[in-house]
Amino acid sequence: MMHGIVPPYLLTRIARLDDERFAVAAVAAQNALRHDEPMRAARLTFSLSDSGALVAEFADTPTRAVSDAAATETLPGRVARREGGDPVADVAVNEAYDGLGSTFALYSEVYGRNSIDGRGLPLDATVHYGRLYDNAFWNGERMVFGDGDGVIFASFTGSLSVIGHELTHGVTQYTANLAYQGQSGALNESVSDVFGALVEQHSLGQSVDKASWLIGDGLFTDQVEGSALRSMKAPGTAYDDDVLGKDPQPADFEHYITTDDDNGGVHLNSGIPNRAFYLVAHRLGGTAWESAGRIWYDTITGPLAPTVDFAGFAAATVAAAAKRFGAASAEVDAVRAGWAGVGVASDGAPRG
Amino acid sequence: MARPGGEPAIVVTVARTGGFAGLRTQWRVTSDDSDEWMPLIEACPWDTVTADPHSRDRYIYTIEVTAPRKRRTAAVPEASLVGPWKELVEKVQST
Ligand SMILES: [Zn+2]
Repeated sequence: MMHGIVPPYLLTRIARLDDERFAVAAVAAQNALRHDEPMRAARLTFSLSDSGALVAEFADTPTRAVSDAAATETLPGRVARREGGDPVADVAVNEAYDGLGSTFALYSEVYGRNSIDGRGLPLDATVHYGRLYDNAFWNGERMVFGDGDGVIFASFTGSLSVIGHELTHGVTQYTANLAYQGQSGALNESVSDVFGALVEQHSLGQSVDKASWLIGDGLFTDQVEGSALRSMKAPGTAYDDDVLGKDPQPADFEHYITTDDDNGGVHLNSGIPNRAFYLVAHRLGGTAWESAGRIWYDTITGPLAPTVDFAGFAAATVAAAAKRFGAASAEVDAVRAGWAGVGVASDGAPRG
Repeated sequence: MARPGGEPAIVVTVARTGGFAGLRTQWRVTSDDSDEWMPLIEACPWDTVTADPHSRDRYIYTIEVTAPRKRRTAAVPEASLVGPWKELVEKVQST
């Protein structure tokens, strides 16, 4: 097997091949050229089939650029590593670059999605944002990572689930576009946690039972009593610390938190759909990105109102599972049981 | 100058919520020195806060001022925390 990057001129030639031995390759090359990005490249894999025919497979490749804000709050900062560039001395730059690659790989290889917008949008990130900045965010165009204060938080590039979370905010922006307030806001947050966790699991090759189901593993310094920021498996148990207090996430709908803070507690109430996802994945077993992940991906890319509530989203996941796996499938049963496990009805008509 | 037997003349509260971690942090200042605080407070555009509909996981600053015959509140997205807003929040945080 051989891997290489195919320049656009070669893609054009392969796309024009009129030989049935290369039919698959020609179609793949035509697909790769269908969009109008002038500098588009693709990953090409050659292999020989059992009958000795040459098989060429194309895969999309990311276009990454990681910039350095050098402790300022000015975006984008100076580009420190571009696509294909060698690792640099700055660990945060390389962590962001590799994390974007792992996230791109999950979406591309498992769900057939070419980047955030499905059309090869460049992945732009900025590291070293601000001074002692305890946060990571998506600003609508790029992912931005702080170094942490060094006392409670370490660098935000240190956790792959965080990088996957931020990039997924971009995917949601281009798909379900869930309104960032109240229940739909908590679903927006949960979708980012779900695919953030799946990026990590896919990258490590972890099955449902081997995975930590933690979000932000490695973000806390050794001085904090806690393993991560959130636990999808057991919301409310990720940390319990003298300074930070106890993880306040609810694990079921009965304990939904009504607050004016944080757009209606979007980072707290996400614990409820997070646990529903975990329960579905646990029941189905195997690798979560292939089972529950596929249902959730179908849901956010399917018909869904931006202001959908938990029950409407739950119904949409049931519909997505039924469409892909059949109405009487184990997947549909697992999805229903998952939502029942957090006290959310899933038998309503999917809205949207 | 404290009013006889009265509350402090000016109370400024800043609550920072949101962010990836969803943690709430609050800072509070009480002062009787209106010359020190009121010009900065009045310089903030309380009625025209710019919304930030695109960002996710950024902070939101809820700023509240109570002063004699005056009460002001605003929820300022991190992206809009510039100029006098930023100056006011940093002053409260460091006082
Ligand atoms: Zn988020």
